[in-house]
Amino acid sequence: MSTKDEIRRSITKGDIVLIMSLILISLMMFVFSFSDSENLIAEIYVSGEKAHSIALSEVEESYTVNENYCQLLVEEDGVSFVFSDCGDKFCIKRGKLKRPGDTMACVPEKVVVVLKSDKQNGIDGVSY
Amino acid sequence: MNKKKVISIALIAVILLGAVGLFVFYKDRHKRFDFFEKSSVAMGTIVTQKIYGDFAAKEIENTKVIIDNLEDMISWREDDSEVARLNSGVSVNSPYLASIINQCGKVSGLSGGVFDVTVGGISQLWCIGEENQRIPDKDEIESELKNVGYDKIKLENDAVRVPDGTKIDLGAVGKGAACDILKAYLDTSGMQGAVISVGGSILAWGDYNKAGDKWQIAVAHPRNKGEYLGILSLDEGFVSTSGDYEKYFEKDGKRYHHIIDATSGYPAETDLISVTIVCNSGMLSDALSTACFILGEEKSKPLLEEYGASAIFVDKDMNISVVGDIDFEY
Repeated sequence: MSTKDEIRRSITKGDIVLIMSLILISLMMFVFSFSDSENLIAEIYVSGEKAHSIALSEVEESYTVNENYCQLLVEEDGVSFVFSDCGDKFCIKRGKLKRPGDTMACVPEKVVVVLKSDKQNGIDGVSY
Repeated sequence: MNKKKVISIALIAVILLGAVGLFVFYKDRHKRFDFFEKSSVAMGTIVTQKIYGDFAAKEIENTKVIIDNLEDMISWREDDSEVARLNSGVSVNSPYLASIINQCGKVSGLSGGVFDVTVGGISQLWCIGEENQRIPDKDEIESELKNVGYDKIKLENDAVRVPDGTKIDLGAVGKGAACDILKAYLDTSGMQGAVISVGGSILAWGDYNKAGDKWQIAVAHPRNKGEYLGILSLDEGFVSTSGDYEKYFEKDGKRYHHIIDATSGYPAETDLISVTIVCNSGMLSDALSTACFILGEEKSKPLLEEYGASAIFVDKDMNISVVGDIDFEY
């Protein structure tokens, strides 16, 4: 009797189920390693100190944050300056920050907003 | 189940799970590094820092102090800065300032004078990006142009002096210069990696990417706010962008941006709307992005060759041109 026949005879249905299960578990782990959804986090710094860290996915209803004569609107899909006491109003003109890496400051009021992803595979910096 | 079969199945299990484990470990290898990040305001702009390594939180405080100190030294707006004293007619003995002025003078010469740090008086007439921005009278510009010219700067060893009326403004290179100093500091810090943006001038530094990845630096879209033109992949280096979209105002349908052609005293008339430079010096990448923006793509090429720099040009029709050896996906 050949070795092949020996192997064939010794493999039971249970063995096949076990091997298939292992392959299935490996495939599932492989797929799950890709499937984390991205959550945006808005960090608001005031005079160089982090004052707020907001997970936008948890924002059910829009609200405003007041810091140093600036008012920021926090929404589920982004953050924007809606009022500032500064002269140039560049912060307001910038509009809504929506993507990871988006950054805006009201320079005179020293208020900075940075949008981040909870995943680390995005953009490291933006040149402008 | 016999012994052979048990070993075989165990072996298959180990190989499969090991392969997946290795893949997941490799994919998330960046998470092996500790990092700390912070955003603040300095040099009249946003500074964002992300530093990888043990005690990065402490280093981030140090690097911020370095930026603040440089601002105190080179900003013409700071009363006691070296540049403010220089502009008041005093001779200033400063090896660092002399070095910057010297390098900027070389770029001025190679750019035919369109880039010039003596343009301070003209910039203060326009005040673009500030509350009192305006279009100055032609006479005002012509009068102030007489004070512009890098050849007016007197450099003797480390002593710098400018004639009465000439105003130095290092705003075009200050952010990049800060990146240079930060790199020198980080080289001896024991940190593993860092990406620091000083108002959009970027320093990408360190061993973070030894695993094989590169830093991913986005270039801002010059017309669509909040969008990216494309992504630069680089091991290390400096990236600076100049464009007509950051600081400007419009009057009678004409855009007046903040990049002044030092030969005319007016915002540069160019077919470009954005230029990004990648090179091995932050100060030079800043200077070159300004000079190349004013010169246009063709006239910029000798300048890029001289400094071994690469560039991304964007013209008014949104045509993108990449010059040099860089990995830019758009």
